[in-house]
Amino acid sequence: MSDTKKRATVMVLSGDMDKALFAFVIATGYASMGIETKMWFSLWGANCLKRKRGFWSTLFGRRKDGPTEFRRTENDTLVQNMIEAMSAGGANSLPTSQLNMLGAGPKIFNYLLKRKGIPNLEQMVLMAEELGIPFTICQICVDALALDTSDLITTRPVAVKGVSQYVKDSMDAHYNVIL
Amino acid sequence: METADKEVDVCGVCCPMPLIKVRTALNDMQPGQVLSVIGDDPIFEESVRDLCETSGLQVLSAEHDGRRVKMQIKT
Repeated sequence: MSDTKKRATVMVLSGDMDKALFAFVIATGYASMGIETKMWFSLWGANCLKRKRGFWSTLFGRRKDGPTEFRRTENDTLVQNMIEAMSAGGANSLPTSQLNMLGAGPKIFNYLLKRKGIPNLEQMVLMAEELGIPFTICQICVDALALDTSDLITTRPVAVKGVSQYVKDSMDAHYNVIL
Repeated sequence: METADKEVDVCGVCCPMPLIKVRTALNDMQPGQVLSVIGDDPIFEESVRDLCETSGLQVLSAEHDGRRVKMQIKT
């Protein structure tokens, strides 16, 4: 290899709060150690970038961005809106993988994080962005799961790419993790 | 002890916050300047030493005061 610059990629696939939080801990850790880090989001992992929205407004409301170039609208179904509505709570209300207890788990988890001075998931996303980690969302998410790319908590626009770009990024990197 | 060009206080926060704060501070500093960091995380000193080792920075001093550690880093 000609260049010896160290790189890392972190892919967030799971929509559980604890797993997503630690994906961000790893990514921000890498970035602060001076290693060029890229983050990828797919399936439920993209839920941690969403802004908090209401259930009914997501189910029946009009989307902010409308159809984008990454989306084919002719074969859209209501199922996509239902999936969107079921995961409209934003980063801090994602379920935990253990001890979810019908939604009490995330609240207890957030309380614990606050008590211990650990940033919660939403703060972690903003901090990762501040460290200059570029975010990329997989195109399947935008097309099949009807993700609204204009309604994210990130301040910079998020790139929408396919698996070919992921292969290029991960082949360049010394460290890849999928959480 | 050298005079610090910038001081960062990371007391009361957990891993990985000290690292993130140190890196954000280092990002707006010039080479040759001295950064002073105070932290009380149990693994604070270890993490900062690792960061310096990975990014090729020099740890000038580490003073212990109970749980608190004051470290000086040369960029």
